[in-house]
Amino acid sequence: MPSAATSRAPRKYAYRKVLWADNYTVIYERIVEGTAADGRPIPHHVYRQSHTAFFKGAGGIHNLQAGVVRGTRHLPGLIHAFYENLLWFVPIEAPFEALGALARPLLRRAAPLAERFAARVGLRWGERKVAEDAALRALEKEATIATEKTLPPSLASGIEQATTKAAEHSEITTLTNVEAEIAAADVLPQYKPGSGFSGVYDPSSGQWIALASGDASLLTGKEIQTVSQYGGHAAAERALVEKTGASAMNENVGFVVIWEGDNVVRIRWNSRSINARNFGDRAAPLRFRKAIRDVVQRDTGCRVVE
Amino acid sequence: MIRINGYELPDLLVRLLDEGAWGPDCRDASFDKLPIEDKDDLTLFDVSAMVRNTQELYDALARGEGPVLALSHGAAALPGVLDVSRAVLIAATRGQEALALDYSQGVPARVVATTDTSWVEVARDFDELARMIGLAGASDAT
Repeated sequence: MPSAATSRAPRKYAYRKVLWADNYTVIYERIVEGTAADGRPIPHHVYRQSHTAFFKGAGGIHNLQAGVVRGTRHLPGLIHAFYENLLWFVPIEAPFEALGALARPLLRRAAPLAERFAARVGLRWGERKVAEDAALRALEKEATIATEKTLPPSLASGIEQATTKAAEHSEITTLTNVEAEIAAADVLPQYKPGSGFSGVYDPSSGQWIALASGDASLLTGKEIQTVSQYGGHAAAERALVEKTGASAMNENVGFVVIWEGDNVVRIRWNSRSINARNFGDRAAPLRFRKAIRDVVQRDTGCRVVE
Repeated sequence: MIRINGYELPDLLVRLLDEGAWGPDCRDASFDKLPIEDKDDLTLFDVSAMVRNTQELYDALARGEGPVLALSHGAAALPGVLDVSRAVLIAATRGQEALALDYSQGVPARVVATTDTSWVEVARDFDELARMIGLAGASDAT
């Protein structure tokens, strides 16, 4: 156990690899090392971190610039972490409006800090026009990423509107058996019957997550942020990776949970993005279905029908 | 006029949207003639959902899901493959079955739907789709 002195010792952060990057989410591995007061090194560990809600609030990522195993920093505390986001990711136009006044002074303070830091560690801040696969190529090489992923102009205003009006993602939109803040059994009854959730199950661990999708809505009428129908399974898989740190996704199974009311949920088995990728067919393999039915029934307390 | 992904939506679709006859609350349509398996989970999109889900086509491509979902971007037209730069998603299930306006062959856009491995034409234009699924008001426009 590290001592109090140890916990105050400088820590070293190094970006190892960006695992995922799209317009709204970045997931990356980060190595954290420390040095104890007596100079003894604290063994490093690797953990995964993601940023999604932040970018959604800001309107999405316009420009992704990430150093990989190149930057080390020794700034303490929460502000450090926030600066860190701003250092690496530049949101698209009209940023931070959704975050309100709190973010604006931080942004102003962070911008020069970002420039100084970039100069100090030799980051390339160049921009280049992007093809969608540029980020993936860079990830494969574990090289510095300097890429710009632009939205088609005709989509930009709509996306901005859609993302800025959405509330931050919260546990009320999530059914899961992984460190749930609100038990799935308590989430479902708050929804209008017919509300659907895009789900992903990891057979190796029995862990699953399902996110409120499309026009799913609360009985109270309070606005929530749902994932889209078409991208819901991808979002759920990202969420599962964030929560569990699982790296292998090639056995994941996609499914859909529909809240029918009266303590009943219906399961649908199609997912072109996950099941077709992993099993060559959009339908979940039969061999996984019983386990999924069982875990959904156990964790939601509902009768499961198909 | 409503433009999404650089393309104007068909007049009839705009009218149905205005009337509330096309959207997530629509219960009048019949999808029996469409090659969609989860018909009861097929949601007709309002404009914001069209924008959002059309953007998902780009995101899916960026994640490398093009081959699985039969998507391309700006490439020469391939049978069964949807060029995301010339498409607007107008309806989908949570299992990624979908209906799209496909502008790759010009205007009016044809309507395509997902199958297991590709996209197939289900209507020569949106008006034909509207008639096919029996939407109220569709016949008035023809």
